[in-house]
Amino acid sequence: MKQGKTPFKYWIAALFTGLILASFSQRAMASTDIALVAHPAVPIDNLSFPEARKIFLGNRQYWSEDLRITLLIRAPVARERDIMLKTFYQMSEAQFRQYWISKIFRAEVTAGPKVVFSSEMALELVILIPGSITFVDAAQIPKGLKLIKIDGRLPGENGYPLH
Amino acid sequence: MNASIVFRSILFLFLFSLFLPETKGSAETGLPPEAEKAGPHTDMETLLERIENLEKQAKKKTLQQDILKAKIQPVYPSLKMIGFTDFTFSTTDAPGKSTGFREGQFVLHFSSALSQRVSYFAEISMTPRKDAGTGEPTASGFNVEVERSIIRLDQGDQLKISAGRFHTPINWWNNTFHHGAWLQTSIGRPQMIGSFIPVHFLGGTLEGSLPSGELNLYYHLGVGNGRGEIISRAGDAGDINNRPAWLINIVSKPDRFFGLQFGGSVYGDRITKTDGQEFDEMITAAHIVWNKENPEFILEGANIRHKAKAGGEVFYHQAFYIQVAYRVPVFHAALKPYARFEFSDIDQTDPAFEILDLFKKTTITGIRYDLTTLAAIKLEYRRQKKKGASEINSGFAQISFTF
Repeated sequence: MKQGKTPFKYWIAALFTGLILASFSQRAMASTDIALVAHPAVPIDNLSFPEARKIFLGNRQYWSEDLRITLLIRAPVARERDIMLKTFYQMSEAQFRQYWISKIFRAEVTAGPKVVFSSEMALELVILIPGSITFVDAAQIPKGLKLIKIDGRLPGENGYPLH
Repeated sequence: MNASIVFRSILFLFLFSLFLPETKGSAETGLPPEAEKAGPHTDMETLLERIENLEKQAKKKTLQQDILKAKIQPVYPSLKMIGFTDFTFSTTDAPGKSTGFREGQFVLHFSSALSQRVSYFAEISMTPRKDAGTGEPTASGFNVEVERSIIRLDQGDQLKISAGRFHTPINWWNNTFHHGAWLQTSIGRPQMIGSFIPVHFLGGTLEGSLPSGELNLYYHLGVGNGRGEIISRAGDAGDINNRPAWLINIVSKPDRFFGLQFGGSVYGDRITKTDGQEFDEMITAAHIVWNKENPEFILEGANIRHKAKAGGEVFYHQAFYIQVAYRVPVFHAALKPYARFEFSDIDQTDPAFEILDLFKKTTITGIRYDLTTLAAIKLEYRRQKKKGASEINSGFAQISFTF
């Protein structure tokens, strides 16, 4: 077998492989973020973190006078739910349940959030229910859905809070 | 983002092409040799079959979406029910009191959306009483009461209009827990929530959020029937005088300190006693609450001013409590020790409060153990003292739950 210099094309390939791997690792970081997705008719593109928290706590219940907010929240054990409990609610699973029972007890709401059992279900419902908002893994969002920025940032961007 | 994807795709294709073995196919059709051999007829059949499958899948998806759509369509009324109750064992060294078990209030809540903007909430309690039964002397039984019955119209987050029977929204505990023993950390509620402040209010209220930036202010305004002739009761069957009660309540939940709530209230009413004496009542109350459980902190107090209509004599009364608890982060965070101190200073010469018999000081220590997410066992020691009387020591064990 002929021994010689490594062909130039392999150097180029190695360089590009490095570049691609780097870009994929950045993508992998972004995929760990949780994105807020809303019904297309929701008249808001950006929320501050406290405002988004207020919505998920049920303290803000309307997008506008004519459009009520419907919360779609993943069932227990989902990673997305754990992240939301940790960041937005700062509650344990038990505290979260007690929180919504208390809210019904105080007659502030008639029911808790709608529970969804998969990202696919969340995404299907968010298209169907006017005023709905949900959270899913940023890597699973198909095109055409309305992503809500938090403090002007999208998932994968520096400083995005939901991960 | 699109430019980045295009750039990555080009890079990937380029890299892939470097390692791709050379393949031979027809220059004319671009099809592999096997496909060419099979002929155009088979290709067409395959394509038609694929199109048919895709159409079937699309139809199935549309059907699934239609079913889902039908399921999520709001149905009015959307009645939902939830209940609370508890069982308590108590022992005490108070004279004339016995040791034993007691059934707590059996409380049912009904909430129902009547439309997107209108909702209804009701709370029915069944309270065991020694005199609630029939016969002479009266047998023990359950006293049924409509605790709350509220219809609400939402005009948005800034304005919600309600009418009905409420927990008077001038006191944090009264509004937050009241009949839900499971919801509150301790076994019982502070004694100032009872006759000291009016716990029920029949009338109309306006509530909502105020434009206040990070302060997050919420308001509550109300007009209605205040205290009845028996001051612990609301004027359910009509006001006892022509001076309606009114209230203003402002609360802040600042963004910067998530979990903090503080606020204040003013309440005015005219009390008419069974003997015809009348008093103008003015209540000012305030609270500060850190309602996370690590730690939980509640400080709440109220001042009551009574002015006799005849004679103009003025009486002042104060009460407050402070409660601290901490959910211990071991044993699945099921344990929550707590302590509360209560103080009341009642002017016994006030004819309007002559039936009020509160302890001057109450000290409570206890521990709550969350058996499951929806049931809790609590153990509590209580030491209470009235003015000029000896101390009373009591022990309690309670299981409370929601269902």
